[in-house]
This record gives sequence, structure tokens and C-alpha cells, in this order.
Amino acid sequence: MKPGAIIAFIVLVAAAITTFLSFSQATVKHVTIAEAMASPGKTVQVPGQILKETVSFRIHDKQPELRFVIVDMQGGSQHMTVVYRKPRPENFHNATSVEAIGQYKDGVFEASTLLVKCPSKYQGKDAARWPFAARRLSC
Amino acid sequence: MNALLAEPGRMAVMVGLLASVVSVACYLAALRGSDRVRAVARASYAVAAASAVFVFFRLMFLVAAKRFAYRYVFDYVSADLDGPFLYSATWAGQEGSFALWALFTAVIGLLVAWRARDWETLVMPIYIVNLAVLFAIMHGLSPFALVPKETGPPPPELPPGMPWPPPWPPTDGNGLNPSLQNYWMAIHPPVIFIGFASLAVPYAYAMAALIRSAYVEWVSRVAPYVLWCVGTLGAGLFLGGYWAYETQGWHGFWAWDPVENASLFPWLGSLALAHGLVVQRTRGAMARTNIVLAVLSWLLFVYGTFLTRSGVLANFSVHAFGMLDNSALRLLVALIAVQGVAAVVLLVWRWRNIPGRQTSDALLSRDTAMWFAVLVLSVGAAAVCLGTSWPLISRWGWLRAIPVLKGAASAEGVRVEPVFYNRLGTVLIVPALFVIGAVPFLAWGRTDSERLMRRMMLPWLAAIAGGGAVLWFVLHEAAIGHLADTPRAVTVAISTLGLFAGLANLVLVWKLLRKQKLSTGGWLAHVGVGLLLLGTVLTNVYEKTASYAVVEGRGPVKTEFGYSLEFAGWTHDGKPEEQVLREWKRHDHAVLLRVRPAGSDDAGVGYTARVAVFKYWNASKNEWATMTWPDIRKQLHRDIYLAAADDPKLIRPSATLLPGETSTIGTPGMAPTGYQVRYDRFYRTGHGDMMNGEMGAEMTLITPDHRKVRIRPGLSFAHGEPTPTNVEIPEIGGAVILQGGIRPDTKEVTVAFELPGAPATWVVPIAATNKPMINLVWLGVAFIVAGALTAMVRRAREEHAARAGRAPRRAPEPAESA
Repeated sequence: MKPGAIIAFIVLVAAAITTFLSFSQATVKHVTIAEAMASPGKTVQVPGQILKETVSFRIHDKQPELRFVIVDMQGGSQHMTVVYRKPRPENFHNATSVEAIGQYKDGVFEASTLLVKCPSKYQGKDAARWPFAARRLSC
Repeated sequence: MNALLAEPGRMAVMVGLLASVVSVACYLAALRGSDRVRAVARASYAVAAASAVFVFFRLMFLVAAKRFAYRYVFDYVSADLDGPFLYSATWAGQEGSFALWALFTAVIGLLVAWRARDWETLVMPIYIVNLAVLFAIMHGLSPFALVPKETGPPPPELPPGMPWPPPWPPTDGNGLNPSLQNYWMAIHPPVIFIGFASLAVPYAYAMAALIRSAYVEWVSRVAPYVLWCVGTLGAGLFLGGYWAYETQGWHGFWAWDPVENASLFPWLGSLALAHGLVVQRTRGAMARTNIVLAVLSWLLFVYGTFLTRSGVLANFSVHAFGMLDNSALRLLVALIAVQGVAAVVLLVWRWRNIPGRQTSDALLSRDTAMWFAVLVLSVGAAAVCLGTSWPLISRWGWLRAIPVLKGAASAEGVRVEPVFYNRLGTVLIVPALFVIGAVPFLAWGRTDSERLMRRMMLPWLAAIAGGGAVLWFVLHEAAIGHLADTPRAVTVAISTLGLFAGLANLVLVWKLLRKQKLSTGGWLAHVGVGLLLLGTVLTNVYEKTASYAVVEGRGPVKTEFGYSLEFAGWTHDGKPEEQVLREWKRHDHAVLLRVRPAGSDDAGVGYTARVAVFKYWNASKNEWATMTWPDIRKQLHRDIYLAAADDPKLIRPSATLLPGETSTIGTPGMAPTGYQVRYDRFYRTGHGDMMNGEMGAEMTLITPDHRKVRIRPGLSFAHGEPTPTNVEIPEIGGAVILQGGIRPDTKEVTVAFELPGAPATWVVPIAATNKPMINLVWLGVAFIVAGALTAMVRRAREEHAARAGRAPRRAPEPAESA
């Protein structure tokens, strides 16, 4: 047998095993707030609307701590406190909703990643309507 | 309709579309050998190329001239945008980036047509199809669309004082997002799009090779283009990473985000192809592999474009995603489908026809090493592609029926976390680095193992010494609390092997520099790979962020990275108020921090960091938003990276008290202001009706010189929403406001003041990040790009010499020959 074939076999098997082993850890399911709270300690991705008035920020033990409450995207009754211990993501203050990735632990959702959902820079369909003159008036 | 047709840009798109279709048809007709038909094909292509150039520069002209009547200009330019970034707004949006892509496709096509000679009539029609599709996309999704005129009744949410209908053409646009107003943004898209556009050349040649059954000649012709792709895409990825690092405040240069991955997997594909081509030109083997790789690199790029432009991954990325309109999206999908099916059909048809030759069987041979390189790069490209596509693939229902995939599949789509890429990357990189270090000493065919050992000994020992240094660093950093979640064995292994790969190749580069400078390309790139991985591992593993509240007037804050931070004012300090308001909207508006080595009280030591904090107009939300940019101080062994962790806040002197109490006014942690306040009684007016009344606290303010001033800070509910009343204190030129309302049970209040001689205090939350060895990352990429471009020049010269009828001046392969 050619050494190349043996090496190929080893590399592919190693890659396949790694993929297989890390996939269960690396893949993150989309769940609702209720499902996230029902499975503490499990890493999940939760979409939610940010309740603006609940957003708070402080520095605690040399780590930033961003805290806010999200509610179901469908406007349901479920709500959950999200804690994010990294510098505030860019555009967070403009965000209306968020995809929080992390796990539910001790009554709060410890997010390791926040995907901030702002209206896209390309989705300008409505931006060309009346408000464009508002720019000069509002600040 | 007539007004739209009259726009020269739109006309150029149509002319270009027509000319490229005519050119494809004529080139195909010219395959029968007619020179006249070929001349028509060439002329049509020249017209198509000129149209693409015109479309791009017409758009750039409209942008630079700020013609806000055009939708694209309105969306990405504002009246106050000036300087070089005004021009880079040309490719800030979808339509403009298609124009950029078409521009490079057209220009590179001219080079291909000129150099292809007897391959021209077959390569060009395959290549020009891409340009035709780009014109068709720009026809459907026109960069020259106009802003619609407003007619009809004013919308109910129109703010008072707004004119209706708004002026047309608009007098101002939405403006360019400040994160795009950056030198890296100006360079990154053009560079990466040159690489992407060039990927079409290997595809066209591979298809032509299949049609002509000529599997040898295309190799030397296509090699310079492939190396060009490797160099430009590598540079483009680097510029994108540096841009993210420097401006986005993402605290890193690579996040395995879909947008980044979509550029990475075509690059890995082109790297695999570059290695495969070396094997084929030297040993005549891998003919099939190379054709497949050339086809896949291009299709992977178009697929990546589809992923990032269609918005299908919008819920899985930190990037704002484009939503291509459906007609443009269908064209992209059709392009992938047609080119993919054509490639598969041709491959199946010709497969047995393609000569297969065996490479050396010996394990210790460059043949096996190169084969391994192609394998690792292909597996890497496939894995990144799979991980990036997983949010889509995981929606397929039947996957959920497979027990092992049950947790990784769901109807909403499943995201793959970076841990997958990091683990698989480690599995592939560790053996790959060892091979990269050994390959300078491996000969084609067979290598004497004793001689190999002897030659490898020196770099190997040096690498182990370096690995020891890394181990010391690892233990030292761990001892001072910089814990890493990557296993230390992996850190030490990758650093040692990275050093080995770098040193071994550096030795060869050094030897070659004296004799054949142009032959150093591949080895230079390998030095870069070693440095890049060494730097990546050390930076990622030993990077640490700590956050501090830097408070005005409270003295330096000690950090754990060996320096202290002190608030040193704003860039606008000392200017009149109306100018300060304007300055907040300038991108260089920054909070100043004095950074001093720990233990030094000398104000002259250290430097002043400028952490930019400014307001910009967020057009999609119709409001002003805060943007921050980090301050990065480059040192040889690390970067000091300071960014605002949140918006800076102005804390005013305040007091919290109950009715009847007297309290000093001050800021927690600061010296007292000398002012006092007495809470005389709670008051309420109106009819006990919360909706129309006013309530607050009757208080006495006692100044440092014992003057007494009656104040009545309160909240008015006249319009439903509580608004502060009785804010001004005219007697002393100050102000007072109730903070956070009044407790209903105890009537406790917190009052904040603006008082002469007791200024408000800025509190700036700063995230300080220590990034050790990050410069190795940039240095490594620079080596890779320089190596790829050197190799490109060498192959292009060889090809040119062969063309000129001279004997191909093939430089003898470096290193020992068996």
C-alpha cells in the first residue's frame, strides 16, 4: 500500500473523529426562552427582544457586566435576564433584538456571544422614505 | 422610463450585457477557426470590458459628486463625507461591490485574452459568462436606481416641523457607516475582489483543458493566476482581519464568522490547487485532482457569495447582512448550478481520459509531502465550508432521524461554535507544520533518511529550544493568572512546530537568496505559516481582558498588565459649548487616557491614549448612535489595546435623602463639594390625579458660603410621561433634577446637581486587553503574501520565456536531488 494512502486514511479518520466529537459540543440549538430555562447548563441560542429600560452596565470584579431582560420574539409572556461579561458589543444600544448564545445558570442566562440584530445596512428600503430630513433636526 | 434609460450608467450595463453575450457567441463560433469571427468576439469583449469600467467609474463619479437623487448615493454618502472615504463609498453597498467585481473581472479578462493565444477561443467564452451574469445582476439590482419622489398624504409619524413632501432631489444622504470610514475598508474590498475575480481564470482553464483533453499545458499557464489568487486573497483576508481588529472593537482578528469563513474556504481551495500544480508540473501526477480543485475553488467562492449576500445566515453572524433581491439571487444560484453541472458532466465524460501517473511511493519524499499538503488544505476547506453551511444543512428534516446528529439538527438551523474549527484546525495543523518544516530537506522521488536527519537536526534543535521558551512563557503567564482554555500541550506543540517550520524554511530561503531569488517564494510563504500559527496560538491563548472604571479626578487606576490608566480629559476640552457639540460627531473625537508604567509617578513617562467615542447618524434607526474605536499601542512583544467597554457617563454630584434630612452633596469616592441640601417636605399639586399633576421635593440648598436657596425639583405628569420641572437654579446659575423618581412609601429622593465649583465627573468604562505576540500574526501573513507573489513572478517569467520560443528556463528545484 502507498504511504500516501495510509496517511490520507489517518488524516481523514482523525478529521472525522474530531468533527464527530466536537460537533455535539460545537453545535448550538435555537431554542425559545422557556426551553433555555428548562435546560440549565446546556449551551443554546436564544432569540429575544430587548427590554430597553432593563439594560444596565457595570464593572464588577474587573469584568464588564452587561445585564438586560429579553422577551419572546412573538411578544409572549416569557422573559429572562441575560448577563454578558465582555465589553458591550458594537451597536448594542441601537439593537431591538438579540440572539444570545450561552447557557442558563443560577437564574440568569450567561451569554458568551451576543449577535446584535440591527436593521441591516443594506435593508434600506424604507430608509429612503420621509425621515431622511430628520437627520438635521434631531441632534 | 425615458429618464431612467437616459442614465449613461444604466445604458452601459445594457451595452455590456449585450456585448458580453455577443462575445461569448462569437468566440464559440470562432472555434471553427475563423479569424474574422474571432476579431468580432474580441471587439465585443473590448466593448463589454469598457462598459464594466465605465459603470464602475460612473458610479464613483456620482458618489464623489454627491448626487443624492441616486438611491445608492443617498444610502451611502452624506453631505459632510469628504476625503478618501468618499471614494471608497463606491463599494460600500451590494450594488457597488458587484460593480467592483465586474470591473476586476473585465480587466483581468483582458490580460487572459492577451496571454491565452491558442487557448483564447475556448477559455474566453467560459470566462466571459461570469461578466455577463454580473451585468445581468447589475441590470436587475441597478446601482443607478433613483430615490422615489414622495407623493400622497404625509405619514402619521412625521415629526412636527418637517416639510412635506421632502425636497427632491434630497439635499443630504444617510451617510457611510463610520466603521467603513477607515483606510482598511478603503483597501480591503478592492484587494479581496481582485483575488475573487481571478479565481474565475483557473476555472475557465480547467474547463477548457477538459474540453480539449489537454491536461498538461494548462498547468504552466494557470500557475501564475493561481499564485496571484493566493497572494491577493491572503492579503485581502489579512486586511479584513486587521480592520476588524483595529476599528470594530471586536478584540480579535478572526472570529469564525460566516462572512470571514466565506472568504477563507475559497482561499484554502486555491492554496490546495497551488500545491497540486507544483506536483503536476514536476512529476506529471495529480492531473485529475488539479482540475477538480480549480473548479471547486471558483464554485466555493460563488457559493460563499451566495451565503453572505442572500441573508440566509443573518441569524448566525455578527455582521449586518445584505438581502439581495430575488432576481439577482436567482442569477447567482443559476451561475453555480450551470457551472457546477457543466463541470461534473465534463469530468465524468473525460475522467478515464485524464492521464493518471503515480507519484513516488517513498514516505520520505517531497511527493508524499505535497500530496499531504493538498489533502490537509482540501479537508480544511471542506470543514470550514461544512461548518459555515451547517445552519442551512441542519434544517433538513431527515438529518434529525439520524441518532448521532439528533442534537445538531433542528428546524431553526444550528450554529457551529468556534470550538469546532479550533479542534479540527489543531488536528490538521500539528502534522502539517511538521511536514512544512521537513519539506525543505525532502527531495522529489526518494530521500536518504540519514542525510535528512542530519540536515533537519539544526532547525529541529533550535525549535525545541524555542519551544522551551514558549513553555516557560506558558507557565509564567499561568502563574500570574492568565489561564487559557486551550490545553497547554497543544500550545507548546503548535508553537514548537511553528518555530520548526519557520526556521527550517528560513534556512533554505537564506541559501536561495544568493543564487535564485525568485525561487524563494514557496519557502517564504512557509516561514509565514510558521510565524502566523505561532503568533495565533500565543495571542489567542494568552490574551486577557480586564475592565476598569476610569473616573475623572480620581487618579491613576492600576491594571494587571503593568501600567496604570488615568483620565486625562477629552479632545474637545477647553472649547466653547457649540463647538463641543459639533466635535462629538467627529470621528477623531476621543477620551484621553494617560497610560503610565506601573509605579511611575512622573507625568512625563508613558503616553496618552485616544479612545475614540463619537456620535454618528444611524440611518436605519433614524437616531444618533455612539461608536467607539480602540486605541492600540504597538510594542514589540504585545499590543496594548484600550477600548470603551460601554458609553462614558457623566456622573453629577448628588444626594439621597428622606424628608427632614440634611445631606452633603457629592460624588461617591470624590472629595465633598462643600454644598449641602435639606429636604423640607414632599409636595404634590393637581387633584391627586397622577395624569395631570406635579410632585416633587421642596428643598433648601446651602452653598459653601452659607447662602440658602429654595429649590423645588419635581416631576410633571402633564403629558402622561413624567418630565422634570423646576430644573434651573437662577440664583447661583446651577441646575437640579430628580433622579429615578420618588419612592411612594418613604418619599425618598435622589437629587443630582449642576453647581458652580462642583463639576460633574466623567466615568469611562475601559476594557484593557493584553495581546502578546500579535505582531507575529501580521508578520506571518506578510511573509505568506510576499512568498505567493514571488512565486507568481517566477512562474509568469518561466511561462513567458517558454512562450517566446526559448527553452523553458526551469530553475532547478532547490534542495538536494536524489
